[in-house]
Amino acid sequence: MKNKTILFIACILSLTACRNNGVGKVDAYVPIYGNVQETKQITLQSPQPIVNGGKIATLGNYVYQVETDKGIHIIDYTNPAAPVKKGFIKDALCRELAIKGNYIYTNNLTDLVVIDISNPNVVTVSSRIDNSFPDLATQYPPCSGCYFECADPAKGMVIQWTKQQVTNPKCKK
Amino acid sequence: MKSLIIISVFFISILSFSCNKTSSDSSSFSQNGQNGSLTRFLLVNNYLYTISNDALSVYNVSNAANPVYKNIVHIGFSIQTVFAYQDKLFIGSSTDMYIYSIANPELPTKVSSVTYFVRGKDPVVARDSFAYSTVRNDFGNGGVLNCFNIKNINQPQIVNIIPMFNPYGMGLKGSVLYACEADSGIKVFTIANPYNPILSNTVRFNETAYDVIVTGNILVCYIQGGVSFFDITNPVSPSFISSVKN
Repeated sequence: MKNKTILFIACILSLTACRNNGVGKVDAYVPIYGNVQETKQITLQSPQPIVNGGKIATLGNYVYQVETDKGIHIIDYTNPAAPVKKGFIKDALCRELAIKGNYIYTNNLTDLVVIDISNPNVVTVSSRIDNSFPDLATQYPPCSGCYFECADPAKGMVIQWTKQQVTNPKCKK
Repeated sequence: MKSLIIISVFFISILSFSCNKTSSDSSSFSQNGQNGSLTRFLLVNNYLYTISNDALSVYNVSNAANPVYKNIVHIGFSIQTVFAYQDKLFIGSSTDMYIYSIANPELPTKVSSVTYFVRGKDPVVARDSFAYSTVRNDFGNGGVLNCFNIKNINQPQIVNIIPMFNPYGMGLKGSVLYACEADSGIKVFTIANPYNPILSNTVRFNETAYDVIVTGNILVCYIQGGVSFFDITNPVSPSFISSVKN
């Protein structure tokens, strides 16, 4: 009797394991790939909509707001009754910022970068310290106990993850 | 009389020397901006401090265009925010407030820490003898404002805990504390007695308020999807000016 019980439990376990090989259609994270060259390019663009506005920093009559994972909005509030968006700095994976004179310290992916904003028409990167913020690495999705589509390095660098319905995702963390 | 003149000349020359020194310093020193209390990047004089999940990194930015990495100090777990007052850093984690001395700016040294009664996500603001941290839970329906007595910086104590609803960043102006409460707007506390903040005003403006920067008579507020501006000439009664959205 005891042996039969063990056999029964073993059967149930093996069945469960089989099912895990294909979980069916579930919520899973899917990588968004970017070109390394392009994601490391920091440029000044025309003002953009604030969609997922993040942290702010001020200096003089300007407030700078992170657009989460996308860049930095430059807002002139010399007249606080009519603040004006002056431009947008494209900066992949941007999360944090600090301002010193004509320089913005921020993250570009996992690098610390210094952006020179002294010229109102163009920005330049005056310094980059690679992999200063390994916590921000994006090779895995920002979740635990979750399914995700395994990243394929051949497709480029993972710069973001989106949640989608995926049939039988192969990776879990 | 003659000695008095000599002494006077001596002091005047010292004064003029120190004036010169100040002016030459200011020409090489570019002005630091201000951050909200939720920040993980912070400039103090010619140093940039950044926090990761468990550590504090130090960069020398005397040459603003080219920071030089100097040091990394392990702090704890789940580090959220960093705030500076004079030569101290106040670092908020999900369980503790840590105080570090940056008397030697390249070698942050732990002074003390306090463990919260309530765990969550938390920024910190501080002044001479007091500090505040808000702690919110992960469910967006609770939280507290912790009030600390830091007169003895080696032994900070929680002296008051005020219930909040989903609190975020804070800012100080004179004897007023602004505490953002997401959908409930900005709570304004009078802190004439810093250990017993009195709720004096609640600013609701149909936005979700996350953090504030006090800059002169303007309160710059980080809201969901943009930035709002308030006139705080009367600090207890922020008067809405405008928002930048979309």
